[in-house]
This record gives sequence, structure tokens and C-alpha cells, in this order.
Amino acid sequence: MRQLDAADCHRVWREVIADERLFEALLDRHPVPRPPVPLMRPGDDAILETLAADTAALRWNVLNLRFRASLDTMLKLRRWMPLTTCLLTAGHDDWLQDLCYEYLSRHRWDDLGHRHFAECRRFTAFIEDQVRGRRTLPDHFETVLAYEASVCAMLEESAHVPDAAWGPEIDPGGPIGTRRPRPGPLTRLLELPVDITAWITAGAPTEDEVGAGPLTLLAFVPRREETFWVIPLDANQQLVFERCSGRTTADQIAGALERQAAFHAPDVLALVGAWVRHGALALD
Amino acid sequence: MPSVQGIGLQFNPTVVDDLGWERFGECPIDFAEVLIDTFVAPLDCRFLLDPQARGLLEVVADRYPLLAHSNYGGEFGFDPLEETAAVRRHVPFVRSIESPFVADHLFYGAPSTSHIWSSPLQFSHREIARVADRAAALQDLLEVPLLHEDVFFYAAFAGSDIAAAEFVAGVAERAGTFLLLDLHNVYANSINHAGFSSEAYLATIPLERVLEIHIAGGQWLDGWYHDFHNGPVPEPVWHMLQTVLSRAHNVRGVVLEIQGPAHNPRSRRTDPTWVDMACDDLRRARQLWLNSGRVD
Repeated sequence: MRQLDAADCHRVWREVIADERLFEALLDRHPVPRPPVPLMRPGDDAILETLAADTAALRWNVLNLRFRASLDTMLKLRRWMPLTTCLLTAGHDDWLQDLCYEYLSRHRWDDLGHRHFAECRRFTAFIEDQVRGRRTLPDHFETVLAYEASVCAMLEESAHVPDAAWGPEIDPGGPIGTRRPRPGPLTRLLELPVDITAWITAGAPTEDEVGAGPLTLLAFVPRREETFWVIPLDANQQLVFERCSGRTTADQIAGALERQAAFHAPDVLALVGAWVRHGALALD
Repeated sequence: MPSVQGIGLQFNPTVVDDLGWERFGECPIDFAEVLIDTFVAPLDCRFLLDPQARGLLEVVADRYPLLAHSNYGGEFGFDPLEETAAVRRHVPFVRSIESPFVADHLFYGAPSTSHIWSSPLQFSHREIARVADRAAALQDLLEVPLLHEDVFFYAAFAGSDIAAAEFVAGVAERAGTFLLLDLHNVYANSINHAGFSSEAYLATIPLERVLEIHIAGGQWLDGWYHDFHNGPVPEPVWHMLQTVLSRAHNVRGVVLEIQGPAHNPRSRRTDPTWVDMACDDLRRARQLWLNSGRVD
């Protein structure tokens, strides 16, 4: 008897996982259906026959996999989009896992595994395409989703940003006056219509009322630290940050703001210096 | 180099979340086995460690020597080895915590990590060659011994034509790698599969390559005995442990696995009695460890 090739068996097995109708047909022991082209290759029938030979084992393998997939996906989403998922399901994990079950079923049980941020992005599309049309979403859901989707996008982008994009190494305590500050390659200004600072701090939508907006947040990934930061900016801080475009020196920025907007130049330099030390700004 | 020797407990997030790690402080353990994927960052970002998990890792490391355990490395799939989480995340993690060795599982890895536990490797000579070559390459990158944990399976993978034990032995011997002997998996497979003999399994695998042992309990559902890690260690597993400790002289540690519902919605839920259950099993494991002539 011809040896069944392991790679072929794995390919057909993954199709059984993905194709719910094929799985049900195997369980029912109908004449084993031919999977759709282009999966079908010579020898695949024999692999399907082997899988259908023990329907009890097949059922455990697939049903346990679906439970695991929905649970793991729920944990991923809860980790990186805690406010969105909590608002979406009123904090009920069972409900969230059930939504994940539906989401994964629509994606042929192809969870994205270690690509957490790609998973968050795809789940966001699922909310937009499927959930939004069939129920009223809670107050401030849009704000929370926009915030968390932006942070996830920044983190996903971080995979492709080389260290060199931060520019030359800096002396954190060194003078910055003659250097030209600019946002780091993973620094974003996020504008939100309402102030959800209390929720972000708590990591969950708390009983605290959201504040009046708008809210400006400085989100960034530093070069050296394995973390990211989100800092609220007031109007003055935002003005300083927006001047840090890499075109003028820190001294020039401070001087201009002192003349034009009654800022105290040493305060501007101190603020810019703090952002440089934290890694939100790079220096050219 | 941290000392990993004696009796350990697997640090499983399903238990930690429900019961709190600190509740197991009374359990007599010498080291903690940490699941690498609990702590590493996603592949689609620039970090090695998840920023949120780093603090938890430091808390555990302050208290116990750490032993790394790999679940979702994906090293035995068909994607290039260098693209897998095993190489991109697990290798640097193992180095960062100075784990003296690390174990993986003999499952097919895939980008969809939830597929792993339902996809045991095909037990065949051709797969021994393919898997062993990848295992040897991974062990070279790790620069510490790589152990392969035997699998619990509902059915042997399509195309399997040799015994599980022959496959495991073949991989380790060809690759020059080592073994994590999961006695509960051996026991559960012997319950579920006619023709799978625990004694034959233990007689076939190279016991001198066993550096670590797992023990656990499981659950009966619908006529199957499941490796859910959610009950006391069964008596036959204790008997096997006693036997193996007397024969396998390179064993460095015995680790108890406990886990909340992660595989099936009907799996028993964690409850506070699990702390005593775990402590009782850990004490008994230590007694067998000492009875085998090993030092405390």
C-alpha cells in the first residue's frame, strides 16, 4: 500500500478543519465527498477515508479545536483590545467567546495564531461588517474602537521599523538645543471626540463618566524599551509637539513659541527633552 | 545558571487567572515551568516579551528557578523553520531566562496555533527523518537540550504506520535530542486505544534520554479519557512514575500540570480545592523522587 504523504495529509486535514460541510459529511459517513477544487489532488480520497474511519476521534479533534480557537482568540482580543471587547459584550467572556466562535467560523477556523495585531484588525472588520448592522452598540464604542485599533496598528507596524529609523543614538542627558526633534517612527497623535482617559487607565470601561472631549493622546513605541506609552496632551503640549517636525532646532522651536504664543522657552526645552528621553521624539 | 532539579509545577494561565499563583505558595516545589507563549510578544510586533506579561514573569522568577516549556513554536510544520515562533520568539526567550533545557510537542505546527493539539505528527519513518532534521537544527539554535513531549491523541494521524513509541524514539535518536515523558499522555492513550500498551511504550523509548517527566490528571467524557489536566494524578500514573524514576537516571525534574478549561466546554472548572489537590500530588511526587535515591 502506498504511503500517505505527511504534507498531503496535513493539507487535507486542514481542509477538513476549515470546511464545516466537509467535516459534517465525514461524520455522517455519507459517501465521502470530494473536496472542492483546487484542493483535490490524486490520493486525497484515501486520506479522507482514513480520517472518516474513526468518527468519534474526528469529532473530538475538531470540536475541541473550535473551542480552543475561540478561547484563544478571545484572550488575544481581550489582551490588546480590552475596552472594545468589554463594551461589546458587557464584560461577559462567554458572550465574547461565542462571538469569536462565529468570527472564526466565517474565517474557516483559520485563527491568526501569533499574529495578534492582524487578528485584532480582522476582528475589527468583523464588527464593522457583521455586528454593527444587527444591534445597537454601546455609547462611546466608536471612540474606544478607534483608540484601540490605532494602538494595535502602531504595534503591528513596529514589526517593520528598523532601529535606524529613530536616527542616531542620543545621549539622554545631553543638550538638545541645537538638535532638530521629530516624532519617532512609531509615534502617533490620536484625536478622540471624548475623554476616555479614566477607562484607558483602568483598562476597562469603569463607572466613571467619560469626560468632555476632545482628547489628544501621544502614543509611541520607544526604540530601546519593549513597551509602548500613551500620554494625554493638553493644548499647549500639543502645540509644542506639532512644532517638532524635524525641520527646526529645539532652540528655534522654543524661541518661536516664546515670541508667538507666550511660552516660557526653558519650559518648552524641558518638555521636548522629556519626550526625547522617553522615546517619543527622535533627534536629527 | 538557575537550578532546575526536583519537583516543579507548571505555571498555567488558566489556573493563575482563576485561582492566583500565590495560592500555590504552600505547594512544595523546587522550580516553576513557564509556558513560553504566555510571556512572548506577538510575531507581528518588534518586542520579544509582551510588556504586560514581563512583570508576572519577574514575580515568578523572583520566587523560583524557571524552566521554559514550548507549546506553539510550530517547529514541526511545513513552513521554513526560521519563520516559526520557535526560532523567532522561543529561542531568545529560552536564552533570556537561562532555561537549562526546553521541551516541545510532537504536533504539526501551523500559523493557526489552535490547530496544534488536534494535529499529532504522522508516525512514519519518513516523518522521523523530516522532523528529526528540524529538531536538530532547532536544538543547535537553542544551545540547550531540546526535549520532545509525547502526545495525547484521539487518533493517530492519517498515514501513520509505526507505533508512537517507535516514532518518538526514532526522532530523538536521529536528532540527538531528548525526551519529556508525559506519563499521563501515555496512560490516557493506553486507555483510549486498543493496542497501545504503557509497558511497551516505556520499553521502547530510550529512557536515558528522558530529562523531564510530566504528571497530570484527566477527565472521562462520553467514553473517552481526556488529557485535560484537571484532576488528581491517577494511580497507574504514580506506578509508572515509580518505575521510570528507578530506570531513567538522567531525569532532572518531575512537573505537575494543572489546567482550567482550555480544550472543551465540558471540562471541569477550576475551584479552590485544586490547590490542595495540587499540593497533595506534589508531595507524593517528591516522596517518589526521594525514594528513587535522588536528593531533596
